[in-house]
Amino acid sequence: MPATAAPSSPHRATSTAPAMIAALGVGHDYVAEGLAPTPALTDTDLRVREGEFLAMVGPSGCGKTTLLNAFAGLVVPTRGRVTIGGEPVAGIRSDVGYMFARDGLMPWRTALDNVAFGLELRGVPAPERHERARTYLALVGLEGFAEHRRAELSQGMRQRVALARTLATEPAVILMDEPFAALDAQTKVIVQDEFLKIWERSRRTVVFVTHDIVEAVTLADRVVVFSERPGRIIGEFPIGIPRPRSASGSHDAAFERLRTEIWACLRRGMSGSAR
Amino acid sequence: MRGSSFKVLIWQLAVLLVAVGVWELVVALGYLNPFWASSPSFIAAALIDIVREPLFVKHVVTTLSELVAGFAIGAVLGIAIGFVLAEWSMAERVLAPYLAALNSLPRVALAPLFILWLGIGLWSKIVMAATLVVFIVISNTLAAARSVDSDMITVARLLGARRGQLFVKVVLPASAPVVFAGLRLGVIYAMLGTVVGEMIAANSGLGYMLSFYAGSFQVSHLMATLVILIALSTALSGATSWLERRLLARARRPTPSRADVAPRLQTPAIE
Repeated sequence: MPATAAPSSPHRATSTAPAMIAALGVGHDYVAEGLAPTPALTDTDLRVREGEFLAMVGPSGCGKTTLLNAFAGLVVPTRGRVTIGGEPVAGIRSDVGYMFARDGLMPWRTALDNVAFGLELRGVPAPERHERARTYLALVGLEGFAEHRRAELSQGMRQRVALARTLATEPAVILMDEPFAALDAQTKVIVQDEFLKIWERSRRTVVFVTHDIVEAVTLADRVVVFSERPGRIIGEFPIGIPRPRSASGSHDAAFERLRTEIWACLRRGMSGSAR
Repeated sequence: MRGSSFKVLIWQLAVLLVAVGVWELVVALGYLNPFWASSPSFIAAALIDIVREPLFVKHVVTTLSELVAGFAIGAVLGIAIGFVLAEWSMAERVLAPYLAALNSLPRVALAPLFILWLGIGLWSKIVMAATLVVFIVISNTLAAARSVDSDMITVARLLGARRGQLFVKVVLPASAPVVFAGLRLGVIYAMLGTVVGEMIAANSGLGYMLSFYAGSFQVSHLMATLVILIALSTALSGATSWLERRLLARARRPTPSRADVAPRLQTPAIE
């Protein structure tokens, strides 16, 4: 996509910087045989700056995952355009990493070989890819578990291996679909803290789908709120909380205010019974 | 755990001894005619007689080579066809009714046809065994390939796996256990096909021995042959399981670079 000016952002973005990720008038309908198409997403414009951490929240079925999958090249949206690094998304890209709530680890591979899998697919020779996989396993605090298989790892460890696998290919953009949703409350906070530390060091562009407002405010630079189906963006909240942040610390007044505002916005986007 | 499995073994032997003892006793007391029912001691004597027979080894070799060849052909074709159908769903949808029809045909009924086409030698039995094996292996392979966890496929695709890589690095290893279950069944089916083929028309093999002894009213020898068949198929099943363990263990071996002899820092588990 040509460098159309990004709308003035509350953050440091200069208005001439091209968006790392952009959605222009994106809409998507799900079509099932013999049924009228179900609109999942309508009229969505979104720009994500390079190095920005964006969280998308919304009620289930609001199309936030659909939009994420459109960025990933897994879904071709019915309407509108999606670009990454200024280029239209046409299928899966090697510079985009993706992580979801389930780990998808291969049970016959060791943790190390699971982390090295993306590099293996790219033809990186074994010594080098194991070296790099070791580095990323250490980064998520699992250096002692390189030879463990999925069955020998706890839920939290599996998700951390999946995180290391996503990071190991060193993608410029990381797309995350409720990556910590399957973890219990305590493990979730610990893994969030680890991820925050890693992210604050590398500052890759992240789009993070979640239904957890606290998680969104804790991690993101900006939170966008989707209405219920057919989803569209109904609110945008820059999160000015200074970094480095922590998921385990107590929440101050600014945090609570943002959380309440986002919650109120989310409720406005829901009608009927959900209200 | 150990104690209890030892106990099971003792009871298993006890069941065998009681069954054999009752049989022997009932024949000895004259309640059963040994001409029709034989008896464990008659069977043991017949077994020794059969094993001493100079042609015995030739019969076993005939049956084994038909069985192994039929199994190998059926297994290779079955795995190949199963994966092709799994990858190419159009072909699977087109062929599904024909496969179901062929599979529902009692394939043993084809034996006379194979004998007409291929003669009474090895090949009619090999083809008989292979036709039985191929379908069971196709359906297991197809089920295995379809049940591969879709999350693993999605992850591999997102990490940039091409179709060939997806197959070799995800589908194949993920389906191996179920494919092996199909192969274990295949061994039993191969035995069935071979022996039935030999019983219908052959001049060598354990199935030929069975029909010869039946035709000459040598019940003890017939039953001794059955004992040999049981021993043979048990050994073959054991061999398949052993091969499976070897192959899967190999796939699960730690990575070669594992050594690195890096000190293993034990990070405390966080849960």
